[in-house]
Amino acid sequence: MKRRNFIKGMLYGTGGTMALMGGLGTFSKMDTLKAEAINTDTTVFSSCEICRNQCPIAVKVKDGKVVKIEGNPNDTAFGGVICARGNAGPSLLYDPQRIKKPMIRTGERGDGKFKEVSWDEAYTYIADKLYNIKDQFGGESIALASRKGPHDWFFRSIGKAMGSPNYFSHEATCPMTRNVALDTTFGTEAIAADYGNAKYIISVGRNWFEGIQVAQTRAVSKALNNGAKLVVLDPRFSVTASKGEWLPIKGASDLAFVMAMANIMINENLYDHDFIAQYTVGFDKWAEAIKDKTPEWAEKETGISQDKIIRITREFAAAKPKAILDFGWRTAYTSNDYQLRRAIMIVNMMVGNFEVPGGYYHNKGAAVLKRFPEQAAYVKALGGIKQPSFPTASKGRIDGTGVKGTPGQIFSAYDGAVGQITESILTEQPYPIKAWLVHRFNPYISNTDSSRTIEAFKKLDLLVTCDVYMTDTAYYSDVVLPECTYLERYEPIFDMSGLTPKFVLRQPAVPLVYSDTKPYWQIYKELGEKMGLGDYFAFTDMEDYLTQQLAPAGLTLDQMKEKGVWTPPGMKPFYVRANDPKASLDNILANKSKKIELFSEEAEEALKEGLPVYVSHPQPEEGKFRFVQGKVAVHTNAGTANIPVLNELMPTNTLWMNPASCTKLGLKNGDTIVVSSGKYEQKGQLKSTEGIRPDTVFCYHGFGRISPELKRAFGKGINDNYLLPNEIGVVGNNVTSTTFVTVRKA
Amino acid sequence: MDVTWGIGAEEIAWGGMIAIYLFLAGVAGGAFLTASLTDLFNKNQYSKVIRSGAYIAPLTIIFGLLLLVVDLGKPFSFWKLLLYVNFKSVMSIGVFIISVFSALSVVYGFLVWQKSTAERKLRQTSANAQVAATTSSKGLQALRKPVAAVGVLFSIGTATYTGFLLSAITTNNFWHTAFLGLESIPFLPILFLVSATSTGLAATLIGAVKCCDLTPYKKIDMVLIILEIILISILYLTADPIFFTGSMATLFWLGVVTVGLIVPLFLSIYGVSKHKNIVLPVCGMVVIGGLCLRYFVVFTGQLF
Amino acid sequence: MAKKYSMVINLARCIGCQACTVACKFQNNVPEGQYRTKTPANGIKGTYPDISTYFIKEACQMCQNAPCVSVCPTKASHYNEDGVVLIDINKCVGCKYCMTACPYDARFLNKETGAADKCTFCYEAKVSQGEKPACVSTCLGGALMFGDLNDPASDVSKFLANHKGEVRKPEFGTHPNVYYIYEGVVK
Ligand SMILES: Nc1nc2c(c(=O)[nH]1)N[C@H]1C(S)=C(S)[C@@H](COP(=O)(O)OP(=O)(O)OC[C@H]3O[C@@H](n4cnc5c(=O)[nH]c(N)nc54)[C@H](O)[C@@H]3O)O[C@H]1N2
Ligand SMILES: Nc1nc2c(c(=O)[nH]1)N[C@H]1C(S)=C(S)[C@@H](COP(=O)(O)OP(=O)(O)OC[C@H]3O[C@@H](n4cnc5c(=O)[nH]c(N)nc54)[C@H](O)[C@@H]3O)O[C@H]1N2
Ligand code: SF4
Ligand code: SF4
Ligand code: SF4
Ligand code: SF4
Ligand code: SF4
Ligand SMILES: [Mo]
Repeated sequence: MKRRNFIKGMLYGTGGTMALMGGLGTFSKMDTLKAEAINTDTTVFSSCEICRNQCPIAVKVKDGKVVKIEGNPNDTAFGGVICARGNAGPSLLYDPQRIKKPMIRTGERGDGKFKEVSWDEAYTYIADKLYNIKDQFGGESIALASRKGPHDWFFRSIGKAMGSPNYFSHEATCPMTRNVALDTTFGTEAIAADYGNAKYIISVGRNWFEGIQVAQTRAVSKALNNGAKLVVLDPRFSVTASKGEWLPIKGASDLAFVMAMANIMINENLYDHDFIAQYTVGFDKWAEAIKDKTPEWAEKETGISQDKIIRITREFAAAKPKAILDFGWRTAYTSNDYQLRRAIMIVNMMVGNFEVPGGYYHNKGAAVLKRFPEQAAYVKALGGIKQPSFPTASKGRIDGTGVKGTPGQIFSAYDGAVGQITESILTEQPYPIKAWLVHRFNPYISNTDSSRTIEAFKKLDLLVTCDVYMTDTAYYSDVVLPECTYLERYEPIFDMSGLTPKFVLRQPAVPLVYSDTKPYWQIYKELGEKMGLGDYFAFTDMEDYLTQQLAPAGLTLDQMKEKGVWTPPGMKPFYVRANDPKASLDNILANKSKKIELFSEEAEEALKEGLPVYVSHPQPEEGKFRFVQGKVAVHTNAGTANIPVLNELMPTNTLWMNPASCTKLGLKNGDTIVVSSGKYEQKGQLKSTEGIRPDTVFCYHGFGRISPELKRAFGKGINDNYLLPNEIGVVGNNVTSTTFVTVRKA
Repeated sequence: MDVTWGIGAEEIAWGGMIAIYLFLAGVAGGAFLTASLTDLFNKNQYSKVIRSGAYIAPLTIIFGLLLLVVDLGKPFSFWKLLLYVNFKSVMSIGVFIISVFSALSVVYGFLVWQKSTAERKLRQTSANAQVAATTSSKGLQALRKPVAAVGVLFSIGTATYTGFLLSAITTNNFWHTAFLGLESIPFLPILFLVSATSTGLAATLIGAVKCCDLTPYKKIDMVLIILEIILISILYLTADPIFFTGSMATLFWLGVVTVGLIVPLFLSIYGVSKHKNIVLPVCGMVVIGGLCLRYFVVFTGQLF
Repeated sequence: MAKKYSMVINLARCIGCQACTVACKFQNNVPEGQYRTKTPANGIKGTYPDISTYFIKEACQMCQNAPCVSVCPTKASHYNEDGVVLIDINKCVGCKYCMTACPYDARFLNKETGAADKCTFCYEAKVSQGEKPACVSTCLGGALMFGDLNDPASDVSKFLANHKGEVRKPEFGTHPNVYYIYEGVVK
């Protein structure tokens, strides 16, 4: 009952005086302001970018101003729905705290002194620096990192043209382990889950109701509405856990649970023999490998009673093939999550839930459909802009991707181990990195070991950041490039194919709000031209680019603008095995064996681990806590802590701790506490909650910002990555759940 | 705190301003009663009391209304309260009662002032001037007692209205408390009428300290205090205990009960029996107690 | 025939994502720091590991017997032709009497207009145009339904026909037009 805890100060008259000021305050405004509900003028179909899910949106524009954003009703998977963050778009668009002009550092790194410059000065500065560095240290000493996306084509062209092999996506901080697992099992990453039709869903930490992807979140809701069972493995009580059966598993022990499932399914003969026989290789080796991974054993490892493990495995198998053991999404919990994700997919294959409704499926983009005669007619592939070939790099990548017989053999050079950049800057191994171009990425908050990241920044000859805010990374940069927001720019068509092909458009809803900001395509085109690399950007403007892209698919820009999304008219969701459980998967599987490799030849070559091997990660001893993190529905990773409306909803994070542990430590809800990893400390506020294991503490990710220019978010909350070491996992992935911390009263 | 896992403190609608307003309206009512009744039923020996009450009433009610207006979200639209009427709304009705009362109290105050100045002149000046003075004011002075009489009704109306305003909120378990559990009889109007009369009387006496012997008034005040003690005890027995133990407990036990009732009661018993000029401390405390009471009621009703 | 607009909130489906909260702010220009609706967690019940919680959308309950309307001295608070409780901000003087009367804390004094403010079911901008309220159309969890209870074919009528809809604080006899479904959550 919130009324009870009112501000005591009001008691003796302050209430009155506050009202007094309020009362007079209104007078000055009175006639100018009215709370009329808005009746909108025009609707522009585009796509959201408050996170990288790019949900289709309908932007309501009134008198040249974006007044509201809704989901694009033309996309049935999204049904006109967007999340809280997507709804908050206008708040970012019109935020006066956005960066408005290019800036060049004048003071020491990190003391935040910049001078505003013209774009031409900024380009010139970057061009000169890059060429100097290239001459001195070679093009390979230039690293690029960005959040994976269509901007990469433009952004990376600069680095590639300078002869650098060192371009990175953020994937190593995100789904890297899952992607590599899919790659080495199916020969492709392009696999998704059909939650909407599932009858049984087990989450291995996947948190659909906070880690939101609108189509997925809605699909899971739909499944639950149709009576599907949801089981959630998570050391803390996530919103998702609150909607199903919560299994508070010991962190970092999930592989034991998954292996035990396989063990039970084999002992009780609950798996799909035909599927295994027809489509997979290595089952016998797998059976052998998990022989001793009994429920008893798993109970000790995971802290989940064997009865539960057995019951759930039986229920799961009984629901086959409409049963999904989810393969997860974000940053790895442990260094070898790669094998966790592999094991998860192997168990899935044991229930034969591939290419059937309610299971997993390969995305049905143009490239795949053209191999199916009866489907090929529905779609033609998008085109691209021709580029002259790039100079071949004189050295290999710093993260060793592509080197046979090493882990680098199996993780994609397109993504790479982004955590390696700071290491190579500081250790100069395998060779020094001198320049770092950062686009739409904030390593300080997003990559592990924030203070090591700062050290690295300080050692650089050139750090360039392109963002919409003066982020923590931008704050340490030599050049800051202000991009306009997604509501003010075109982008290449997004191919968001699922069970049917889907193209999504992004187009400006309004002209530039801050006239000196620019869209990335223009920034890198102009920078490229300044550097004499114009040939790599062979298009006049984005209308031209999009037209070239759409033409081969037989589509026009105007067509796309009409609805914002395009899917082949009349095409039904396409599951290869829907009607014929014996249908060939040769058109889907992209590996040499044309089999689903339970035993992966590549993994064997690269890691000497053709099958998942269980590593028992230590559990925290008394007095220490495993530190885990997660998404919150109203914020995006490093992106939104300073967006007015979202900051208002949640200005800071707290450290979750079980009341029993609080009592042991003499702490109580709301206390200001210090979290310590031994090496590093963060100050924060304690939240005492039954919703977490007593041996675990948790905080929402994305807080603890150090850039004073993020005036709303600055200095608020805990930066999780400040406490985590920059460990690079088996397939180049970050590691976020194996750090132990102590907590004390501040 | 964040919006998903729990939200911070909410502000309450009516704060100190309204509490003070209700208090002042009460004082005004009580003061007017004291003055007008004295004026109507008593020979002029208490003219100082009449003056004190007649001046305090308009001053306090006008200041009270000022606070009320300032507390509005749209202070400069206060006139719409007179333009749009809702007879289902106690506030709407109250607005009219109070307006009339304010007008009357101003007129009455003026008449009393006129009378007293006339009399002062009369004491200083010669016989024929005296005649002039009295005749000149005869016309208006004829209105004084009628105004006082009508004012009595409206001052009672005003005092009780401050109670009805709150008790009319049927969704408020505290404000809506019924008298001895009789649904039809709301409690607050009665309590506020008594409290108003006693605080008004007390304020008036403060203004009239250096007057003649005030013993009869002090006796009345004592009776009122005792009445109020009885009422408060009833409230305490009928209403939910949380109201008296929660965050408002101190204000209640210290301000309302101790300072406002118990101590003044003993002091005045002592004062009436022995000591003559113990008026100030007693009345002072009664007034403070009245203010505490309004604070207590206004906030408690919104906090629990 | 007059409408009886109603919102049905299926608590089992609500994920506390606050899409409704934000959509409402933009749809209705709600000032910074103020809200017509919020969807906080209803606390965590039980002790580790046997716990439960649910999220509950809070806003005007659209009482058919609305205290806020009866106490309003200026008739600024009123029922419109379709039984929706609305506030005429020109008549409103900001006396806050309605705020003291509302048993659901649904009202606030709009910082910018100085008038009382609350959920309007998006009547003017959406519902009267035949659209759903902003919060309903953006509801990510699929917890919100809206429609005319006088129309047996409406989503809300159909849903309430085979689910138990409950109103909040029935003891006050306010007869809300917002119904909560507790099936599948621990009340
Ligand atoms: N410890 C720990 N670390 C984690 C995670 C965790 O759970 N725990 N989560 C991980 C995950 S899953 C991910 S995906 C990463 C995400 O890491 P990031 O990709 O760094 O985070 P984002 O939130 O995507 O925002 C990146 C930057 O893009 C900027 N931005 C937004 N819109 C635009 C635009 O239009 N143009 C430009 N140029 N910039 C823009 C934002 O202001 C922000 O600074 O973090 C990872 N880090
Ligand atoms: N609102 C919102 N939605 C988002 C994002 C966002 O920032 N905000 N980001 C988007 C991005 S980039 C991504 S990658 C996805 C991520 O979506 P999810 O993968 O669902 O990410 P999280 O919400 O971080 O969920 C991770 C959960 O794992 C739990 N956990 C930690 N360690 C362990 C462990 O060892 N074992 C198990 N079983 N669980 C563990 C954490 O407590 C947390 O609840 O969300 C996307 N959607
Ligand atoms: S999930 Fe939300 S924030 Fe991310 S793109 Fe979709 S609407 Fe935007
Ligand atoms: S909920 Fe409150 S504001 Fe809404 S109608 Fe009922 S009383 Fe009025
Ligand atoms: S604040 Fe406005 S709506 Fe509420 S009671 Fe007063 S005048 Fe009526
Ligand atoms: S109906 Fe409209 S006003 Fe009411 S909460 Fe939903 S969005 Fe806000
Ligand atoms: S949008 Fe729907 S699911 Fe999300 S909080 Fe609001 S009511 Fe709940
Ligand atoms: Mo991610």
